[in-house]
Amino acid sequence: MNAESVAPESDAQMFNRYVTPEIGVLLRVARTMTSSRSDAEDLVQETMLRAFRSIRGFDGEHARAWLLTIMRNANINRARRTPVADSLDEPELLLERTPSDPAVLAERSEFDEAVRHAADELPAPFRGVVALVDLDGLTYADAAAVLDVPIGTVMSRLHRGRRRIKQHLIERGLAPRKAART
Amino acid sequence: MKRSFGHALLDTYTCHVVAKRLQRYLDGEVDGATKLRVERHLETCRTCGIDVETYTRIKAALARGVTDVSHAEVKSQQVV
Repeated sequence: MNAESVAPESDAQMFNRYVTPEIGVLLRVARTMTSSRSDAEDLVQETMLRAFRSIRGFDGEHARAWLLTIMRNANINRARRTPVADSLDEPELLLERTPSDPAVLAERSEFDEAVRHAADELPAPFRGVVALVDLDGLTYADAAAVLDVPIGTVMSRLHRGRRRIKQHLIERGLAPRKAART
Repeated sequence: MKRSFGHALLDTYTCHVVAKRLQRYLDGEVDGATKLRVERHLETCRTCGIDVETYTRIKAALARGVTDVSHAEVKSQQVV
């Protein structure tokens, strides 16, 4: 049997092979990129629609990076359409992700609170990379695809962001000062 | 001549070299040989071990979603 006798995959088959397995990651990243669950779901839906339309041109390499790039562009267009729709600076949106149960709040450790405070205080470029890598679990390459920056920039921002968090913890006695290297 | 994998294990990273690779190591972004050499160093270096412990705890805390970090900031970096 030669290669010409093998039926090509349909669009739906290609979609199921390359896009469907990434839906979970797309939802996590979309949740980071937008301010609400419904906006995230809308963004993923838009991303999947765009992916389906262009699946024929996809070469089968690095599906996640390809999808994240589509999502980044979809989010840019979406933000242009609704420029003030979803700033996470809005208190009610922050509350949505904050546990309201007093017991849960009480259990949150001092360490976690300090990390939270330090992360929230990071400059925006550092904060974005920390969120994508540590919160969403993206690889450096995928985070670079989302932000449209070189991998080296992701590494630099991540390192500097985490170092600031560590310094914050040290200053509050929640992490040991490091002995001088020998 | 390309060195064997086993030979690479005989080399020892300094603290300085480990520090430069530590974040990538913690994120699983180093190759197998680098991972082994970092771990070999960590077996005997308490100074770097403290760093690893602290950053591991930070990563774990962030992964638990202790921060409301990001969202608008990620978006603002994209819309330029």
